[in-house]
Amino acid sequence: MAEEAHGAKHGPLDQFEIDRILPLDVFGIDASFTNSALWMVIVVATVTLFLSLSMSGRAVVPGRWQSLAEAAYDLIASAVRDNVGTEGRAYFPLVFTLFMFILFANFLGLIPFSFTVTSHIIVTFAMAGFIFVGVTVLGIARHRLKFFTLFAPPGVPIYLVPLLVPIEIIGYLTRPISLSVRLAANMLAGHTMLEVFAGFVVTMGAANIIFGIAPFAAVIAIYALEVIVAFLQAYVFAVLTCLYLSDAIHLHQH
Amino acid sequence: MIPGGKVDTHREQPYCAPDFGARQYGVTDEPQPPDLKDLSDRLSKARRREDRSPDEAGPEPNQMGLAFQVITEMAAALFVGGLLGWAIDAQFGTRPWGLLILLALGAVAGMRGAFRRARRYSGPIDGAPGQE
Repeated sequence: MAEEAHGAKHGPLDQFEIDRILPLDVFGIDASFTNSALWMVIVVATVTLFLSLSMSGRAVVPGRWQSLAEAAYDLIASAVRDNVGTEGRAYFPLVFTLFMFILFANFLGLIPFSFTVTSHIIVTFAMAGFIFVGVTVLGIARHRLKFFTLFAPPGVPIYLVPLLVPIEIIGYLTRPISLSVRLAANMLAGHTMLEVFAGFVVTMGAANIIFGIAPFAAVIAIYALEVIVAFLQAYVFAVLTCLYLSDAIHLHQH
Repeated sequence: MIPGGKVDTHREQPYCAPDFGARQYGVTDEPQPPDLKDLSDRLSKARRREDRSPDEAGPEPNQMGLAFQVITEMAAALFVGGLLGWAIDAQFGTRPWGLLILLALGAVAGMRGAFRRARRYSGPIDGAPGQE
C-alpha cells in the first residue's frame, strides 16, 4: 500500500505499524514487547493515575478532576443500571474497566506521534471475544439448558423454528465480530483520514501556502470529530457489553 | 427581589427554592410534617429508577453511530454466515450448498439485527428519562 504513494516516505497507514521494542521469543512464539504493548501499559498507567489522583481528595464538593472521574463513573453506572438492571451491579467493574481502557486508548491515540492501540482489530477482538465467551459462560451457568431458549424466541410459530434458530445463532456469533470491527474500523478510518489530509497540507502548501489552508481546516474539523468518536466508541462498546450481559441474565424478558 | 431591599413579610410565596417542597406549605405557616404520600411517591419513583427493567432506556440514539452500528452488524452477520457455510462445506463436502444457504441466513440475521436495533430506538420517547 505504501508503494502506491511514490515519493512520500510516510504513507497514511505507517502510523499503524507494529515495532518490536524488546524482541522476545518464548518457545517459538513471538512475545516481543512492541509499541502496541508499550502504549497499552501507558494507557493502564494513565487510567490508574487519573482515577487514583483525582479521587484522592474525596471532597464532598468535587473539584474539576474529581468531577471528571465521578462523571465517568456515573455514566457507566447508569448505563449498567439502565441496560442490565439491578443484577448488573456485580458486572460494573468489568464494564467500567473496559470503558476506561478503551476511552484512554482512543484519547491517547489522538496525541500526535502516539500509537492507537484500539485501531488494531486483534486488540479489540481480544476484548470482544473475552466478553462473548464470558457472557455465554455466565448465561449457561445461570440458566443451565434454559440458556439455549435465547435462540428460540418465544411466540414463534413452530414451523418457523428450524429457520429461526440458525438465524439467531448466526446473529449471536456476529456479536464479537461486529463489536470489535466497529471500534477498530472507527479508529482506523479516522486516523487514516487525519493523516491523508495532513499530507494534503504539506503537498498543497508546498505549491502555494494559500492552498494549504483548506486541508488544514479539514484536519482541525476531522480532529474535533475524532475526539467525539473516541468517546462515543468507548461508550458504545460499554453499552453493548451491558446489553449482552442483560441478554445472558434476563434471556427473553425484554 | 424585593424593591428597596426590605424584607416583605406579607409575601405569600415561599422564600426557599421551589424544589424543596415548599410549594405546599408556605414558610410563614406552621411547619407541617412532610406529606407522607408525597414521600412515598418520591420513594417509588426513585425505586423505579433503581431497578428499571432493561431495554426501557437505551443509549442516546446518535444518528451516525446508529447507522454505523447497523452497517457493521449486517456485514458481520454476512461474514459469519459465509464462514460457517464454508466450514460446513469443507467438513461435509456439500459445496456449494452450505455456503449458499448460510450466506442467505446470515443476510437475514443481519437484517433482523438491524431491524431489532432500529425498533429499539424508534420506540415511544414519552417520559424517557434524560440520560446524559
